[in-house]
Amino acid sequence: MESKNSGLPPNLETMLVSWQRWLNKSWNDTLAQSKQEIEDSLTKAALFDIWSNCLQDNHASGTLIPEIFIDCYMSIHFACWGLYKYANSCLRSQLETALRFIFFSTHQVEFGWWSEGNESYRSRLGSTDVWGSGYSYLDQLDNVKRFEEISPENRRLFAGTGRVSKIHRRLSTYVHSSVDSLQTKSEQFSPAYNRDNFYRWYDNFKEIQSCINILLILGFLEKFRGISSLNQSSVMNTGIENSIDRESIKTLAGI
Amino acid sequence: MVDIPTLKDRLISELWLPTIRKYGTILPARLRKSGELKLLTLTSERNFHEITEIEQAGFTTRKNITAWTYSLPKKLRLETEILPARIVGTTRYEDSIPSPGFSIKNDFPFQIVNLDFSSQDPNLEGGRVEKEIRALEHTIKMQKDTGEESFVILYSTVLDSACLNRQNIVQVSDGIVLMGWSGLTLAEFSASISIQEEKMRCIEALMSKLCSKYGYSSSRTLPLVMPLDEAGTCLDSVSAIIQSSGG
Repeated sequence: MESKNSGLPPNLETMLVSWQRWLNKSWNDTLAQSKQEIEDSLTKAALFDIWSNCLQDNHASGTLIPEIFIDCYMSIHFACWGLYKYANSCLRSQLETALRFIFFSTHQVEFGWWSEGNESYRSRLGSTDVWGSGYSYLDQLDNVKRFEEISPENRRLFAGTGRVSKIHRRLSTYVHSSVDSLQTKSEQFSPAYNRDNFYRWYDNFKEIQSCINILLILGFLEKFRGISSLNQSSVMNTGIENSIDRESIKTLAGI
Repeated sequence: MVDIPTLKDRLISELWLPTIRKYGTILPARLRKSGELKLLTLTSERNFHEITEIEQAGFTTRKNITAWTYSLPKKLRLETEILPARIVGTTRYEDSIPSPGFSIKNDFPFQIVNLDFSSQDPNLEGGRVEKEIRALEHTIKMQKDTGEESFVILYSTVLDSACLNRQNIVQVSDGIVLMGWSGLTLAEFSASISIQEEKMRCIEALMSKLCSKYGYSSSRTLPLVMPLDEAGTCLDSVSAIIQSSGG
C-alpha cells in the first residue's frame, strides 16, 4: 500500500523521509561547526584539475584521475553527512587508485588488460595489488628512493613503517568494520555531526591528499617541473601539509 | 578585480548574439531554419547564459552543444544544469587541442565557436594569451580540415599587465606548417607588446591573418572591452564571421 502523502511504498517512504532529514541536519551542523575545513578540503580536491591537465597525454589519466577525484569529493560529501565510516572508506579507495595509476602510467599493456577486466597478469606480480607486496614496486622507483633518502624517518612513505602503509592500515579498519570504526554506536544510530569523528576523518583526509600529491610529483617529476610556477606552488602549498615534505620535494625537483 | 561571470551577460547581448544573428542572415535558408547549428563553447558553471540565449534565439538545441570546462568539480555542476549537452574537458582547452588525443576532434566542425578563455579561471601568468592564440589557430585549422565553409568565432580573453611576445606568436604559428603559406607577419606590432590597445589590435589582426592562412576571409565586428580593475586589466572579446575565401 502506498502512502497517502507521498504516493511512495511504505519502506521507501520511511527511508526517504528519515534520510532526507538526517542528511540535511548533518550538512547544516557540519557547516556550522567546520565550514572552513570543508572549504579547505574542496580546495585540495580542486588540485586534481592541475593533475588532470598536466598528465592528460598519459594513457591511464583520462580513466583514473577522474576516479581519484571523485573518491576525494565523495569522501568530503560523506563527512558532511556525518557518514564517517564511508568518508574514510572513500579515502582508501582514492589512495589505491592513485597507486594503481602510478603503476599503469608506465605499463600500458597491463592497463589495457585491466581495462578489459583481465587481471590474470597480477598473479605473475607475486601480489594481489599492482604496487606489489609491501609496496615493493613503488619503492623501487628512483624518485621514490631519493625522496626516502632525503626525508627524515618519520616522513618516509614506504621505508620501515612508512606513512602510506600506516594510513592504508588505518583506513582499512573502516573498510573492514573494526569495532572502533563502525558507523553506528549504541548511543548514536543515525548519521550526525560528531566533532571527534569529523576531525579524525579530516586528519586522515589531509594525510591522504599529502601522500597522493607527493606520489604524483615523484611519479611524474618531469611533468611537474614543466607546469607553471603558480600551479607548482598550488600543489606544494595546498596539497602537501608538512613543510618538511615540501622541502624534500623542492630539493628533489630542483624548484 | 571584477567578477568575470557577472560581465558575461553584456558580452552575450552586445557582441556575441548580434554576431550570431548576422551570421544567420548569410546561412542557406535550410540551415537557418533548422535550428541545428553545432555550438562549441568554453563556459562556466556560474554563467552559461550564452547556451540558453543561443538556444532561445533558435540557432541550436541542447543535443548540438559541446560545452568545455577545465575543472572536474565544475563539470559535475554543469552536468546538473545543461544536460543533454555534451560536457567535456577537465583540462585546459588550450593545452588539449594540440594533442593527438584531443577528446572532441571527431566532433568538429562547429558552426558557432565560442572560445571564451575568460570563463576558464585563467591563471594570469606570462605566455597565457600566446597559448590561447595557438589554440585559436588549431581550432580554425580543425574547422578547415573537417570542411566547414562558414562559421562564427568568438574569442574572449583577460588582458593583464603581461606583455605579448610577438616572436613567440609567430614561431608557434609558423610551427603549424601549411603548404603555400609564406609565414605569419606581425611586423606592424612591437616585439614585446605592453600597451593594452596594441594587444587588442594585434589579436584582431591575428584573427584575420590566421583566417587567411587557412583560406578563409573574416568579417569582424567591433570588439567589446570591459575594465576588470584599476591597474588596466580588461576583458577583451572579439568576434568574426568566417567564410571560405572561394565561397
